[in-house]
Amino acid sequence: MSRRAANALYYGLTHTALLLCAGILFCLLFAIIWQGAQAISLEFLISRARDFGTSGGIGFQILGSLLIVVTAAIVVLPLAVGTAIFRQSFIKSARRKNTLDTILYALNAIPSVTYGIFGLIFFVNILGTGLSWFVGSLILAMMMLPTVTLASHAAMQSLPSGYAENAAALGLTRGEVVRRVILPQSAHGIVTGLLIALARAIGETAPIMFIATAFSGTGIPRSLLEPVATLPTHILALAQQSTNPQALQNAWGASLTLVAFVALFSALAFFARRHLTRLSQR
Amino acid sequence: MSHAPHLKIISDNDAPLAAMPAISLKGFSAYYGENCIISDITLDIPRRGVTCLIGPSGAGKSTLLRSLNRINEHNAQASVSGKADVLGRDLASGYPDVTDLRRKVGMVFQTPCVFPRSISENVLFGLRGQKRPKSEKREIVERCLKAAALWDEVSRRLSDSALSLSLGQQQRLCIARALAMSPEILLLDEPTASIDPVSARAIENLVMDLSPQMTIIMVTHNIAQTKRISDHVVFLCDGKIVEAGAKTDIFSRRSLDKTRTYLTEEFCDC
Repeated sequence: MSRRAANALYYGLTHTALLLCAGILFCLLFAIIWQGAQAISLEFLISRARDFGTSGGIGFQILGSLLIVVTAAIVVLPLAVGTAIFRQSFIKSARRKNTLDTILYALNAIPSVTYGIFGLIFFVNILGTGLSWFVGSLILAMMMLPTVTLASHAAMQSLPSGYAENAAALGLTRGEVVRRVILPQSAHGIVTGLLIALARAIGETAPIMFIATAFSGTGIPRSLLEPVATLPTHILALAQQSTNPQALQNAWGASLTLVAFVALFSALAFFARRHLTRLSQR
Repeated sequence: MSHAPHLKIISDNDAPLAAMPAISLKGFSAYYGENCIISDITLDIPRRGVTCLIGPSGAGKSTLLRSLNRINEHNAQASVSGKADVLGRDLASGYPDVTDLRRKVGMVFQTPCVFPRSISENVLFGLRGQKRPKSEKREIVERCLKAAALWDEVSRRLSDSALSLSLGQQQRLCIARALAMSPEILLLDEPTASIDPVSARAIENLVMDLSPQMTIIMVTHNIAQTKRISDHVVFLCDGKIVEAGAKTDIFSRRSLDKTRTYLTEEFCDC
């Protein structure tokens, strides 16, 4: 095969792959937006679900989803950043660094349902917490931990090595180097990692299905130990009633809302990265 | 392990202080893992003046410099042995808090590395956390930038990003930042290697201006520069001191053949 033909083949194959991926995504989004838009209204977004979701809206599901992921973010942020700082600044042995990386990649690869089963056994069965949105947040935080840690660490690793060395040469302690140099300069990576992990977590059903959510009869939780309704489990419940056209319509509406939240977190991640990177290089 | 001769640099202009060297090394060695980079050297560096460390690449000049404020400890594989006194205190046991050592022994690296902050914030970077009145901070910024021969160029844009400066200006800002800590010893690791000749000359003038007030130890590959700015010269090769002494002796016909060959042909066969 001539070089020109090989190039053309390579170009054709890669573009076909790109078009295929973009096409699938476009079809999926088009279907969700087209079907979901018919269900969306202000009332649908703020009112509570009735008749197992076949009527009413998804107000409590939106609230529950946000509550559970924002709490997970609050829990995971210090853990992930602390782990990344420890990996970057305090572990000297390459072997220990590799071991930590392997653990993080392994945690990232664990299927989400396994986290849910662990939460069910450990929190619900052994500790007897019952269904609780806080436990759901803890499990989601565990699931988000590797993503946020790896993103934070990647941002720290991308800093010029001279920063830490120059700061240390000025007599700054390791803690001061972390606080004054490493954290401000890697803030963009930490925030981006967190928002990407949030975008993933808000769509998760399996980890919280058994431990944090109720399919009906929930409102605004009055304590950490009460369950909440969430969008993914609501969609699951509605999908199981798909023979009912109203339930199906509401499922599309809830799906569109969920996709909008994922898109919002992803867009925020994009803008946070651009804005914070620019700020750190000012 | 071979033993280097005990070499003592005697300052020409400050005989009493020469008895109390700024840095005193006895049987000092430095390693990276199993590799011995500096082998059993003995050397006294007097207070005040410029001491240039010269020698071919891999001679151990930068390793020696990095050992003197223990910045080499950032590398997990780095270790040292032997006796080293800095400002009259043992390098290890005399400075249980390494930050105390680094405030006394400032360092500027080969590649200028300013923090992505304003020019004045860069100067004050090492002092952050210490509560001082604004007027005192302004005074420190002005004094250090003047000492680093940068004040005239940046006095009207102190709040501009330090990244907007040229490389030569950034390197002088790094020196100003180190001076803000009021170090007694200043270590310069090839500070003119990555900048243009005009900026390099500005830094040379700056080093000569600072030399009456502090001990400056500078690694350089530039023989002409060594001749221009040094008071004392240490010629290192393959981790050992070949010769050390006052510049006038090193650059005279009295120096060893090896030294003369290196100084004239920039070649070393050790």
